[in-house]
Amino acid sequence: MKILAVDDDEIIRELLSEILNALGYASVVLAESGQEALDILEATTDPFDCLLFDIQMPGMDGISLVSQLRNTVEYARTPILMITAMADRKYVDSAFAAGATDYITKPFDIQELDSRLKLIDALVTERKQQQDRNPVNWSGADNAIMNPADTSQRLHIVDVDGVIDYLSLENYLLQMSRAALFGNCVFSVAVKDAKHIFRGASQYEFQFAMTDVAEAISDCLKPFKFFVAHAGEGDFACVRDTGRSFDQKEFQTAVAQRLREMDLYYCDGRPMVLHAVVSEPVQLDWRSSRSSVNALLKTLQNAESEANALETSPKQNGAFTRRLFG
Amino acid sequence: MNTELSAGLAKVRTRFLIELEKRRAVLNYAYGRLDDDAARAEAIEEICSIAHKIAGTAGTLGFGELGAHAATTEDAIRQHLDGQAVDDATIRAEIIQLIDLAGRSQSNE
Repeated sequence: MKILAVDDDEIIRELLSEILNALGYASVVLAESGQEALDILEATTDPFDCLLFDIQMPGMDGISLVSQLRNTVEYARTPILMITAMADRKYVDSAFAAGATDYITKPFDIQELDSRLKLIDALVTERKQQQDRNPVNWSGADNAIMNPADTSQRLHIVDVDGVIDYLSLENYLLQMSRAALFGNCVFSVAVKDAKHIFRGASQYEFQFAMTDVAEAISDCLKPFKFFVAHAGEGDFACVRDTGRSFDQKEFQTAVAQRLREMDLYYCDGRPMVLHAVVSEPVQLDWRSSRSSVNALLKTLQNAESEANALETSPKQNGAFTRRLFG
Repeated sequence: MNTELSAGLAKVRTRFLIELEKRRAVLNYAYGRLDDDAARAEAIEEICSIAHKIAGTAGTLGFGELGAHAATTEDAIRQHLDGQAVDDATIRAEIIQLIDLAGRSQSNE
């Protein structure tokens, strides 16, 4: 795994270099500023697999660096681990909102750094394998538009406020202290019949439909601090502040209304009707970070079960399917 | 911990202590400028930046107490700069203790 580590403190750079080498990461490049990192990234012909950024640096800070890189094709999805002394929630929130994959606070524990890097290494290997199996979908080539949708994948959704990758959402919860999570709730949203709806659809249609659902959820969460992530199929996992005031039914109605307003269509002009089901929220008060992740997973299961349990008579179902697929 | 890692950390620890001596001198000098209205803002920024750097590495290199106090000092300065209720006397006491701990960390080696 080729790593670029950026920190303005020479001692940290030396420390990272020694630790990473000892952990078996032989290909490590160091930079002392955001600008130097950008210059290195631009000059390299063999892209980096993993980026380690400090936040507090003179000139360009680590969060601006993440934002800038997420807008490039090469580094839109590259795992970025923030290694920073800034433990305040505002920094954690800003880093994940900008596109950070994970967050570790200084002074870091070497074992913890090792375990986070192993997870990233596994993710990098998995993505490379997927890329080798299906190079067309990863190349961004035009014919990817017509490839059948792989609905099991957790999608990387861009340009929607508060929407981050699923792995980042789990890492966000893991990073937060009990006190920081107090008052927050987690819940999930599932698109009813997603498997049916997108059977035969293209990857392009699936990606755009899920982006629209993400946008509907994001729009309805606008007054709050929140993160949303696509969790595969038609499922979305969400965390929101002021959790006690969250009203499941009200939110479900608001998302349904927003989806109707969006007036969605398939590529061939047929209308696309999406019904979103919202799970009961789980309050995170005094939960540990691990328990919060488990609560999130539980709400995903609940949202799916509630979506599956919705009564649909065979006649209605047939009409629904005909409307979608002609 | 494997031998390679232990050797690597020992090397960085030595470098940290050399750097700590310089940082301690800068902290002392900056502390002396806190009474100079024209230089105070720059001196506070400098102290905060050094405390931030010490806080980021000391703990990993085995200087837990120094690192924790550097983090407290940085936090107090940031709160002070944000206009929160951290008075000048508290800031000064934190800085003095940081300088003292830095000195003790060097002499204990």
